[in-house]
Amino acid sequence: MWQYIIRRLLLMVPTFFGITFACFLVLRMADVDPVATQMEMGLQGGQVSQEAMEHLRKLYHLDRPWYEQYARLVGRLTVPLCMDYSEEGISVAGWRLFSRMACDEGARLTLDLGTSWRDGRPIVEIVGEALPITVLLATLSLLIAYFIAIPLGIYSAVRQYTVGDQITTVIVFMLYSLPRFWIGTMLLIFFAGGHYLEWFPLQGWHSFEGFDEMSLGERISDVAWHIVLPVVTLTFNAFAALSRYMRTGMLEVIRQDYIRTARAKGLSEHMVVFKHALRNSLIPIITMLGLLLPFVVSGSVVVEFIFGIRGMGGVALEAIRLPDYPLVITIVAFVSLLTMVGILLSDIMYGVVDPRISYGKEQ
Amino acid sequence: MSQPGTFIHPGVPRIDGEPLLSIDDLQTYFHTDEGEVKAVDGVTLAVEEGKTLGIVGESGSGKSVTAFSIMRLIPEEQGRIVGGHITWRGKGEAVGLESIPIEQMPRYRGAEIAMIFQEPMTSLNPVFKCGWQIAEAITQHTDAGWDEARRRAIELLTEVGIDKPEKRMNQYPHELSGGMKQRVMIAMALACDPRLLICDEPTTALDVTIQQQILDLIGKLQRERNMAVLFITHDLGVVAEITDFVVVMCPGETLRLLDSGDDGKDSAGFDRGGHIVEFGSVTDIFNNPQHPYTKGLIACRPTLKTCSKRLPTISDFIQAEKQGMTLDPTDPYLEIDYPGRATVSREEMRGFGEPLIELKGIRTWFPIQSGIWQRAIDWDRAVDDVDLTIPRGRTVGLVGESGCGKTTLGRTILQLVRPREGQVFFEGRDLTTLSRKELRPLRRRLQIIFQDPYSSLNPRLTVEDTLVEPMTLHGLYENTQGRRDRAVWLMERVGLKADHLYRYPHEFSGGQRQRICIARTLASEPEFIVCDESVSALDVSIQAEVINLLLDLQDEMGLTYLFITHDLSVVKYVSDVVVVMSSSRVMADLYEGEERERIVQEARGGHIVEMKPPDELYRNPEHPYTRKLLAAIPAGDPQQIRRRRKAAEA
Repeated sequence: MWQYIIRRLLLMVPTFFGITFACFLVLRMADVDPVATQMEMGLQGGQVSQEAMEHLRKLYHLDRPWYEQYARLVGRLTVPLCMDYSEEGISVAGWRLFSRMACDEGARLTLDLGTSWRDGRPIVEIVGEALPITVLLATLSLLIAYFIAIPLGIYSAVRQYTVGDQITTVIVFMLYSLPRFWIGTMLLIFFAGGHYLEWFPLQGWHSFEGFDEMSLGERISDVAWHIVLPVVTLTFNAFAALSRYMRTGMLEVIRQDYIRTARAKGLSEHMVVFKHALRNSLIPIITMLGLLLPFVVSGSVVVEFIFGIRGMGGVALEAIRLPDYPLVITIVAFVSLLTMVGILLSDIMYGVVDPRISYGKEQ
Repeated sequence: MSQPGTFIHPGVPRIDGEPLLSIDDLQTYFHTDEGEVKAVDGVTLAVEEGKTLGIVGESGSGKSVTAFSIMRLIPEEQGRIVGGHITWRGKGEAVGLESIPIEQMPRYRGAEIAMIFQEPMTSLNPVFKCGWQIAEAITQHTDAGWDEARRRAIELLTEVGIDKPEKRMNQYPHELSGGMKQRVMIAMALACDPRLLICDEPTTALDVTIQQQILDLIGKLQRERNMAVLFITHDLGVVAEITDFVVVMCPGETLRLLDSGDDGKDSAGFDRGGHIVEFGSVTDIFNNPQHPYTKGLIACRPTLKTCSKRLPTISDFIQAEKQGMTLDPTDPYLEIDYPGRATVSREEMRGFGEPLIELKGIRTWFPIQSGIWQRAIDWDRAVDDVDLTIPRGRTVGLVGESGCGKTTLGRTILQLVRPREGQVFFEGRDLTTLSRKELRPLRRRLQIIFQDPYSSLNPRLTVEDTLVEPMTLHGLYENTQGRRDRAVWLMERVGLKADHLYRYPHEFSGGQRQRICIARTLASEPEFIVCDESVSALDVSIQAEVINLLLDLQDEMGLTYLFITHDLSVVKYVSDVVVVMSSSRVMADLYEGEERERIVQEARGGHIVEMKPPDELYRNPEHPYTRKLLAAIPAGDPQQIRRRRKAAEA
């Protein structure tokens, strides 16, 4: 098992470089001059001297060959984890972390990802603000999606072709085909706009005023109140797809010989479904988890936009517009890491649920 | 042993007294897109306390559906019992199982009537431990707690002959072999001391020696527990091993020919689903079968005595019956002519008997990889040092149990897997040294027919596309028209119609599909064909037809076969030379003491243990493994059965 995990982690390294490189390449091919765009955006029609622009290009290493640019961008992401800046020379990453935290009181672990070209803020800071809310939205909506989809899928499968199943099917497909922005907007109009109901706030993921003075409990309830609508919007599609998968999986399992055996044993239908069929039919939908993660993250772009939340989606959108190379690469790196870890986790869970899967265990 | 019923007229037993289970005029129909299918149509039978009754028939005869009807295991959306009575007298008073609400069935299932199934591989839940699955059955029907249930489960595992029961309790089904899984299934069925055990083809998916063990086990448990057994199988030989009384079931469709009038129209009587055509003691059924279907069933399965050049089929017997002739199904020299029978003989072909394929020191090992870098830490020695010569125009039969490497050997010859060591000579050229590209023209001449006709045809291709593709690939015939003409010829040659060419595989029955597979193989005009269990998945009468077809094609085209099978009777019938394969692991149990140590130490993979012409091999098996294999063949001969059963009881 450990060997398997280590092997998978090692395999992530080339994948990581592949993804970031592809991203870099696409950015380069778009052939947009970040400096010029920045100037335009910043000065609103004013003029900048040619020298100033050249200076900026130099500062951003845009005058260097492409491979050096890539190395510098990605180097930012990898170097702080692998190399030691201190006088002791190069040591193993883990050891350095440990030794510095243990011995050097003043020093703390800093992750230097460079600064954004747009406003010169450290990228760590930008991502640090945006990432938690996106992760919160994604995790919550995935969890809710699973919680609704599993029982619904079971219901549809066990009552296949009954009126209940038909109705669920129609509703689920309707939800699935509705675009997110439409759902989001409708929710805003009906539940937050003030035209009909005003149950939820219009914007942001927490109150703008007085948030800092709130106690922890108050903060939590404040955030919860704010993110109800975004989470609902984000949950829709994932939940619709998942419940269909669950239904198919259950139908597949219920036809298996071992289900017949369970019935022949004299188990009640309830036991057959919830004990013998459920665990088997969960196997395929668990693998979905890793694959859904990036979709939910990218889906949050729309949701964040509608609900005025500044999360990874909004940051990514702004960064690509420039293009803010270091920020874009960092975001891509984060999302791809998240995806790879998600897939690895679902593979590991696969092995936990299904005893037939063993990861290189020797007989 | 008293007879649990008497004849009213041939084929329909009458129920006397109050048997444990009686089925009276049962009708179970399935709803399909094409309308109603009468799976079981008027079945009447009875199982008495502590007795064993066998049901024999081909697929579609309704024998399994009868069993599922008793347990009410047919999903409502698929089919239902439309008529008749199933009366169960488990606890004295009679219960009509066909009419009680389905919610009450769990009371009987597992507790009073237990069932084991055909596929031990898929019949156990893969995500639960074996012990838990047995214990669950105990807690379901008794007041026992989990600890008590576990203790009883261990006892049951011991009773069904599983060694190290404590260890097995904590293993998952996939960690056990097929035979062991079936033992676990039996243990689970016995968990609550059922009065009746229904066995639905429990040994069909198992190797012949394991089959023998399971049959012995069921027989032993039946006697010790005085339990009634309803044993369902398609194999008359197997049913003869275990039961005294047999009902023979038959799909109505098969009798269409018999019942149709002289004017060619169907008579009213044939339009019946699966029903019983004959009933009697095993000895009577074998020695003096009455119904032509039963006769055909007995005759079409080759036994060790069969000497006919071609096998008779069920339709031969039905034809004969209709014409008022009587054929003796036990006559080993029975020859029946049919259209399409080969008129030439392979012996007259050029080059007959010359070596076509020669194997020298073939070792096909698969790496077992482990660790971060996936290095091979050990080898799975599927084929371990095999020398073999296959002469042109002959059939070499390859037998052995699962895991002996017989399939891998077949694939190695065709270079579908590359050996690690050794040479494969085809007409003097060493195939192992050729690149994929160099092999391609040779592939035309070396072909394979697989076991499962359901999965080996592409469902999206019409039969014509399937047949024309290999011809196009190898550039046979000048144009598409020429290839299509050839496809028509092939279809007719394998006994199908030319207008079947535009259909898709799912529109055919299993036997017809296997004929299409054979036609596809012939399309590239091969010289050498590996038949990898090609007839194993077919019903006995279809099997006979397909074997006849293969033999006719061999005579006409001078084909060379490597006939891989686990069926020792079939291999004796078709082969010129029989090769027995085994591995140290399989054989270790045959020896004791130092000899056993030596075999285990040797750890040799699949290799040839004995190779002889069939008559000699079966008369005089030298290797202990061969002897063990031969001893496990179901007899299909009442005298032999009686002898064997006495020995088992003693």
